[in-house]
Amino acid sequence: MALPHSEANSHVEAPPSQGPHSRHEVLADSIPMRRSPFLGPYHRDSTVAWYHGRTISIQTLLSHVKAIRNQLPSKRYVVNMCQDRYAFLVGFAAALCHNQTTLLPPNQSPDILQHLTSNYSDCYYLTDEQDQVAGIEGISLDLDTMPDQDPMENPQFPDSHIAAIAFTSGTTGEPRPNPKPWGSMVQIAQKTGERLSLSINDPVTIVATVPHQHMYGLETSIMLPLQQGWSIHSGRPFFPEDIASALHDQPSQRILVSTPIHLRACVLEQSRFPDVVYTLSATAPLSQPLAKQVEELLHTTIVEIYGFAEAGTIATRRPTHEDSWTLLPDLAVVSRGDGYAISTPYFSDPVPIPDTIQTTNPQQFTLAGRPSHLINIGGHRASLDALNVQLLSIDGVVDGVFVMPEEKEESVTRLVAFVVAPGKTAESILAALRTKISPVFLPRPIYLVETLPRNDTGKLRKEDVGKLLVTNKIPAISLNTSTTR
Amino acid sequence: MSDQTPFETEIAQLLVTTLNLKVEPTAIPPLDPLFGEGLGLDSIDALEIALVVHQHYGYKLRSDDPDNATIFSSLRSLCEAIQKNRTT
Repeated sequence: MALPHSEANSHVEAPPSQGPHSRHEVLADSIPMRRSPFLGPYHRDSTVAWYHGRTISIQTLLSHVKAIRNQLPSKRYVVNMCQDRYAFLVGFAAALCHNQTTLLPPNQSPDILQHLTSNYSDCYYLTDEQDQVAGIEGISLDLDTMPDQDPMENPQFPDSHIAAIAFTSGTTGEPRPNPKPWGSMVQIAQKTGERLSLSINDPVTIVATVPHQHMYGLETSIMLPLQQGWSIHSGRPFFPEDIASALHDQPSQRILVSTPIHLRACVLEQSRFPDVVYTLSATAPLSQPLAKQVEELLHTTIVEIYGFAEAGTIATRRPTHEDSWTLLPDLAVVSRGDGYAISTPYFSDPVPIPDTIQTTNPQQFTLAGRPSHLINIGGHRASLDALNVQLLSIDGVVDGVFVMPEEKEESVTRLVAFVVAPGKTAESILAALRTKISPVFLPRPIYLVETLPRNDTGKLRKEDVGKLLVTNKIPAISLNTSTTR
Repeated sequence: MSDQTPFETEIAQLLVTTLNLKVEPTAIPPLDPLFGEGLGLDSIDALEIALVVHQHYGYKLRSDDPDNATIFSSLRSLCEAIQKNRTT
């Protein structure tokens, strides 16, 4: 099944590079003078955030950004690790004021951070929780002790400036950069906002269960409210009771940004929710029955978002009313080789669409699955090839393969791995994998085997791995049959 | 040998069934971490645990509970929190 707005994707192999323009050169480069403001249509005293239960005005935000801006080192890149959404926003804006680029790693595992800091050596990190990253300068961001000072003006940033680089796990296992020009982020936020029928003067607060360090969260919980003049709940409610509580705390209209995993939990737990004007969902498909239950429970309208790390949000749909996705304005699907790509006003080249789609008219398409070597667990996308590379890089692992068992409709299915590693334990292999891949991809479990049933050319045939699964009582499979050593 | 209490064995069985873990419930050491290095659970599992705990014991977990770090630190602390807060 295809997967709306995944945080990582790895179907195109390309080495990471120091320069952010390694793929998808931006059109905005040809019009370097164009700039877009940091903040959309806010009134002078509008509330821009709810931070630990208190309101943050536009003036306070601009004061905080100015104060943090003055503390930042003169470097080109920053890893913004702030867990609080408002703290992240302040750091993100302050970095933009210095024409710096925020790096968004797919996870904060030691190997990933080391890779980033060695490939983007002119970088520092920002933290609000005393995180430590070996080998680079760190800045602690403490907004509670920030001295008051005069706010700065609403800054404008060049559309061509690479505001962020979202990393995805490439097929070689190396993180692959996806540069995000400021102009593209602003346009996506504006176009997405047009899909929600809200008066620009109505106070709205966005509450999000998703992390702001991933593209879906950054686009919908930071950029969307900033460009629409809405406020941001600074927390990240997790359990259904937290989500209900955070929504109840907002006196204005509410928008919930979430995922099918969280929405399913809300329905099952039947917490008491206030009315929510819109609920945005992405990272995995939302079934129509679940979508209807959510709409009833939250008295809400669900808008599902489809996107991927390379292009960001490209389409939306109402899952209770339609199967087809409607492209954002000014986007077009173009045929490319054996698949499709998305043409946008902000990337010079069409960006390949990782899922298999069928176009129903020039503005609409349906999803028809994804290539068998791509997987998506809880919105984290990866290729089995990339995971296999990481598995085989572990000392003592002679051979090995990740396999996705048959996926169930609503709950999350985990990977399993078959590993040939004489003298090693499953626990030691798991410990090594933990430093290399996102926790959601860790195999459950690892099966130690004497050998994998590869054929004469080194390939693992689907039916042979099927026998392995049957032996271990695991249901069906999705396997990249071209897996070779 | 398991050092689990009967209630810990009951919850261990629930975790193994819910999360499709390939371990014997009685083999989960009651003081080992559930997340990260120990049983290796992650945030998706936390949500599943919250759901089954609510379904079976009527206790709704919250992430702003100041005791949360403690609650999820081990099978034993999870069991103590459930017994303290259960409504069924």
